[in-house]
Amino acid sequence: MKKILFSIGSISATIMLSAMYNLVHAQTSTVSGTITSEGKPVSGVIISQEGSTQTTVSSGSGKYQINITGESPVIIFRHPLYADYKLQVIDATHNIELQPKENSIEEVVLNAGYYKVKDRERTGSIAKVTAKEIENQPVVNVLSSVQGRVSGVNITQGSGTSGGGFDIQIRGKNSLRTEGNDPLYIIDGVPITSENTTKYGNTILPNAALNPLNGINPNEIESIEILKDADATSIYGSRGANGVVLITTKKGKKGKLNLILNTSYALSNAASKMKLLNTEQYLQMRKKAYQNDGITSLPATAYDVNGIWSNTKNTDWQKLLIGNTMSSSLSQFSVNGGQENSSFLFSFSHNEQTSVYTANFGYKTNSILGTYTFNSKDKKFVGSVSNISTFQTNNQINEDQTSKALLLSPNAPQLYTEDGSVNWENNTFTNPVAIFNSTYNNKSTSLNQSTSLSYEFYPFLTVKLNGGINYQNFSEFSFKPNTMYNPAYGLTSANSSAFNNNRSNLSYIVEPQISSTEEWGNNKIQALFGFTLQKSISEQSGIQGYGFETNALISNIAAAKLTVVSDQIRTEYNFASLFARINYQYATKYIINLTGRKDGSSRFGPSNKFAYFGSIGAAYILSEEEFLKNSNVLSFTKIRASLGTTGSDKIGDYQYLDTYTVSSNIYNAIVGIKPTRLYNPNFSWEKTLKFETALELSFLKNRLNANFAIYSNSSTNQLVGIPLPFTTGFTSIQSNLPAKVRNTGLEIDLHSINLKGKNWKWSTNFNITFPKSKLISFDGIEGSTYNNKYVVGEPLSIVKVYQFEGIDPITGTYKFKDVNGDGKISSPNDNVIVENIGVRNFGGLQNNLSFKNWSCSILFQFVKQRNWNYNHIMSTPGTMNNQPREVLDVWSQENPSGLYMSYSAGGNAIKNTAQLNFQNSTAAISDASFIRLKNIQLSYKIPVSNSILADAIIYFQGQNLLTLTKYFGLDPEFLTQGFLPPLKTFSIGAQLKF
Amino acid sequence: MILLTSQISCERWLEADFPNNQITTSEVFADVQTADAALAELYGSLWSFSLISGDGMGAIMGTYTDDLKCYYTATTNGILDLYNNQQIATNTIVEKIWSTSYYQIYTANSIIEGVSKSNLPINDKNRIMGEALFVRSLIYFMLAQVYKDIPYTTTTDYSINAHLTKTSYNNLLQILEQDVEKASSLIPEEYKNNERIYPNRSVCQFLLGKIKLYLGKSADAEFIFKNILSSSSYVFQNDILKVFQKTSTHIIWQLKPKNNGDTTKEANLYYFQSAAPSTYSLTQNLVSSFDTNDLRLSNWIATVSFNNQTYYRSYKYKNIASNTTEYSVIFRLEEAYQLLAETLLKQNKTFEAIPYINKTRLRAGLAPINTSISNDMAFIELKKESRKEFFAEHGIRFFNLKRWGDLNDILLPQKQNWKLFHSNFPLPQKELLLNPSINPQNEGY
Repeated sequence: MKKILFSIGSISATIMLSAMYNLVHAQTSTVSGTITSEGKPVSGVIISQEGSTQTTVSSGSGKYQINITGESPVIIFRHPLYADYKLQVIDATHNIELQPKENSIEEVVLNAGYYKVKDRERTGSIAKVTAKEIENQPVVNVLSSVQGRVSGVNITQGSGTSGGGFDIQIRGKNSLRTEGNDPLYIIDGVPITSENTTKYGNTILPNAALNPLNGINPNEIESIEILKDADATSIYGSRGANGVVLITTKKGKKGKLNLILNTSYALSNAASKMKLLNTEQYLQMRKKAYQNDGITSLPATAYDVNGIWSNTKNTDWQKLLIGNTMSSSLSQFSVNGGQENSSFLFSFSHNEQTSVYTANFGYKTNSILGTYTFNSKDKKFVGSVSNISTFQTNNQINEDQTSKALLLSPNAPQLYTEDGSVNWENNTFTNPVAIFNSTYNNKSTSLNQSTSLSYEFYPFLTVKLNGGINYQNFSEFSFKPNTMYNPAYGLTSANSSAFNNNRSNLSYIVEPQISSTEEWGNNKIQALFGFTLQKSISEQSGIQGYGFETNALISNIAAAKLTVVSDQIRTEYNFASLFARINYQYATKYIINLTGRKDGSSRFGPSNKFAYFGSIGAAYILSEEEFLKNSNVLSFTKIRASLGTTGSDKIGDYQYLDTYTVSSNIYNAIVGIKPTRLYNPNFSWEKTLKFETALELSFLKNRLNANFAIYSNSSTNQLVGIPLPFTTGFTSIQSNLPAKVRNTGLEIDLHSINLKGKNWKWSTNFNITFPKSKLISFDGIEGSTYNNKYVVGEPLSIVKVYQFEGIDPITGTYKFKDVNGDGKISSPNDNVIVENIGVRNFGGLQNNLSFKNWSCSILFQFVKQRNWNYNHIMSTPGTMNNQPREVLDVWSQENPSGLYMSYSAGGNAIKNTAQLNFQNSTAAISDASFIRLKNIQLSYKIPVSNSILADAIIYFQGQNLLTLTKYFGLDPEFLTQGFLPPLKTFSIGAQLKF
Repeated sequence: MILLTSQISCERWLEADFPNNQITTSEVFADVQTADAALAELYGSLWSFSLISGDGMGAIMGTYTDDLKCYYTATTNGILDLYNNQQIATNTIVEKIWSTSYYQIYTANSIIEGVSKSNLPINDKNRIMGEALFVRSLIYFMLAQVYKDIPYTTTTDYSINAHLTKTSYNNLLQILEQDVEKASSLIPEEYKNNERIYPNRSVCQFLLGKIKLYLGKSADAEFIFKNILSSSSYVFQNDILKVFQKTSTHIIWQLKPKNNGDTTKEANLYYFQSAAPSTYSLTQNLVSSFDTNDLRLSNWIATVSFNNQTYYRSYKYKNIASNTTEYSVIFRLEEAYQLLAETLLKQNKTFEAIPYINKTRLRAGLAPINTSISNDMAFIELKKESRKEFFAEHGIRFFNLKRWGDLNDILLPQKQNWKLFHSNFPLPQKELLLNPSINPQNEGY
């Protein structure tokens, strides 16, 4: 490491020195004036003199002033929304009228990671979400604001509890292993670890998942680029198989110092609610259940129905347990500005929110972003530093209350007694609020520092050095004091327990690069060559404590009577690679893009440390041909295609070693050590071959744009472990299985400017994706652990269930198909019906309207899918659990078409078994499609003139305001049932710019 | 040149530091402490679930035969099918017994391989190898009683183990006879730990005697069991309440629970009080087989009344909280007495055999059986006595019935689904799919 740092130092020192040498002085005069367009002043116009590096920016009132030098100077005015304007300077004052730009796709520049590419010249598939679309959204994770906006990217939020995980699939699942499907996240050029889970949070955060982008304020993001196809991802080699998410933070703008204050306040509630039985219906069900079971004297423990509890009380537990209105407030303070050769941005945001459980829980994030860019006067040297640090504290209830809210008897007693203490109703009531005494909290800190330095040695040769450090520290505590249990159990603080887990990850990356551009005649060639060194060190430790003298000491685990210290684990992951890109364009009509990468990873055995990846992408801009050049209808036509390979090395570290690991078995106080795995040093990357072809069209002077892309990705070499017979001592060996998964799909993106007038504009974006996946082959699946999960020839999103055949009229219980005919219904021989619970198509429809100072955007997200419904988690109707209204449609002699079997209080073993099978039958799967009013933004720009205020905007935002669905269950968007649904949020805010 | 150097430095860069919770296999066996930790894993896993764990054969075979009534409800848990004698090749318990046993065999083989390549002192080397060899042999022996012909392997090489063929039951017994003899010669007579929680030479001899009995070498078996009975280390426990107390010196081998204070699995599994059983209760058939004055009936069986129903539970292990008094007994002297009686009866030494049968009867407060009864009658008495003494212990009931050829006579009248081929479990379906060389499936499945 020392050696590398030294070389970085020497390179940067050289670059700095030569940059300073190039600084020059010159004589100046001044030009000033006002810039307007359609009668209104235009701010933010970048003004520079041709051939000089001097720049300045117009003020809020459209005023500008610039120093110029030399004979017959020319000034250029640039603004992203207006056509460039060139001015031959004659006087000292020039008022300028800018023309709004024709809707042009040419100006969009996309970040492809190692290089930038103009949208019109790109050969690959890169989707971009800009700051404008996501800013000010009341979301805790920026991924929520991307939902529905990008084709080919399916994002599902894990739960409405803040700080949890997201499932993000870029063009489907490539790996048979769940954990092998995360994309690569890169913030300002620094890859960040995505394999994060909590150890103790799984009862509050579904699947114990955390997302690495939690804590980043969407307002600090300039753009998110999502790389999808081979042309875009092959340069990320062994980590690009599942797509790449590039986050670019905001940078300062040259010109006047801007001070921005932004504050918003939001209120949220669970977005969906279920209609449950009221007390009358519930008690009827319960009584009938006992009657059906042949029980005449009600058991002493059936408090709800035997008269111990009130039979008139009717509580909406959803309102009481998950119905708190969560408030959140966000404040952001940012300063940015710059001079001719440097700019900076500093932003501090603080977000604080309560929870829908009670106001005592909550989530807080702080984030600090600092960016600084510098260029030498001759622009040969460019350097930038960006720093984003986030600090989150998540203090939540230990257990998600959603399923309790659905299950509690509606006539259950009140939560608190008159004096405010927890009501145990003479020990007849397992009071859910007692759980409020147990907490789960975690703290995470992440620092992401990135530096980029480049120097143009010759017009055709630039040397660049990218580097960065990412540090993440995560610590979590789970406290379970005895007070969370009924005092009747006689538990004391000696039964309290506390758990702690700490994890940190430090990774750093250095990427020196050389790039070159050469043009001659109609030819243009761009080349890039670089290499990567990355090291990542993870450490994990934890402690558990059982039994405390007093609960006051519970947060000090060392005070426990019994403490168990977990393994102190330190792992290392090293990564080195070479990459290159060559792009050739002929007459801006034909473009070929070649990328390649050689990757080395410490996750593989000595003989397989390296692998090669590459892609070829090509584009043909038809509209440059003579026969289309002057078409009035078609303004732009491009056909492109790409083919290439990528890989995935998400398999955990050290899988190739022949080792013993500390085991959970202990004998006579000696901790056992066991063979970690079957030894196989010869496994390698999962490989994905990606193919895409696309057509990009623009009509009517670019007022209507349409993109169509078809992709087909085949993943082989699956690192699932080759299934082995038990006689080998293990069930599998880590190895590349020639199992093959194919993801295909069609993506359509439409963008149109419907109406455009002097004061107003209406535009529409629409995207839809039709994804398909198929397991093409998997040798030995019958004997593997995947046998109940996948079927060859079917999508990866299948489940195998029993065939539901209605109600048996004789027994009044559910009937299922006895596939193997052995007279009983059992797994795995009868649950063989394949149901695809996956997404059929998804997308979004966004309308943007602006009128004078008003602007409004409305986004609908839609997903067509099938998934588990409430029957999957339903308890036997008739037991001491509340039920959805649907169970009123119960089978009986009088109602032979009833959907649910006759009620049972739980004492009927046949019905209990039938219920278990019912939960895993075709009846538990149904349509889960939905259309959701995902986001509404309404903002008004207050006219301010000639005050210190440059800009004032007030805005209203709404998130998940409306969901249209026929889904039977709480909410159709979920990863695991029984957790809090996404939240419905309203927010108002104001942004002031000085 | 640059490429070459970058290649070399890349390779070096990719060498990751070793994870600190793992040890290379060669390091494990370079040191007695770590080699013993590998052994601890083996014993720990025997305790946690195995053919001899407290929730292993005792419960499974107890309910498969006629000692235990099963109350589990979940259909995915294969135990209910075993209780109903409806097991098929995909039964989860059938698979679990097989898979954990072969994992333990792998662990033992890995220890044997590691130790034999190591430079440990010869005493440690012999002891560790002997213990691993003994455990492996015990597992094979019991596994063969459950599945009959099974694959036998002594290597950890998965390329071999993935394609094993079955070794016939009789061949296996002969191989095991040699293996256990070898283990016996490697392990010292003196216990490594006074609590008798590790096997010593007598433990090996006990298993060897059993194998000889199965092989029909009655005289050899007789010699071995007599040797054990004559050892001053073992004293018959006359107090019925102390039979499962860990300090009793009639215990030949016992397994210690995982943590200090943990209860035995047996105590936990069979326990229920003021409620209907949710796991197992003793069958009426078993309870009725006791004479009313049998002390075992009053001391080893608890009666639970609930909702006007009477249930019986196994109460051999009594400690269900803060246990400092009981470990799981694997081999106890009483079994040696009965096995000796059996070898004697087989050699028609009826008169000599009867006192050994009477030993446990006397302790139970029953009258001794007459020494002058016929060989056949004596065998019948031995069979009755064995059931009463060893109910819910390590599947002894099943293994005995199988050895005596009595399975069908006893179980056909009691269990409606019992079939003649039920003397063996099916081979796990998965195993047949992944290693077709172990075909055919056991008869009847």
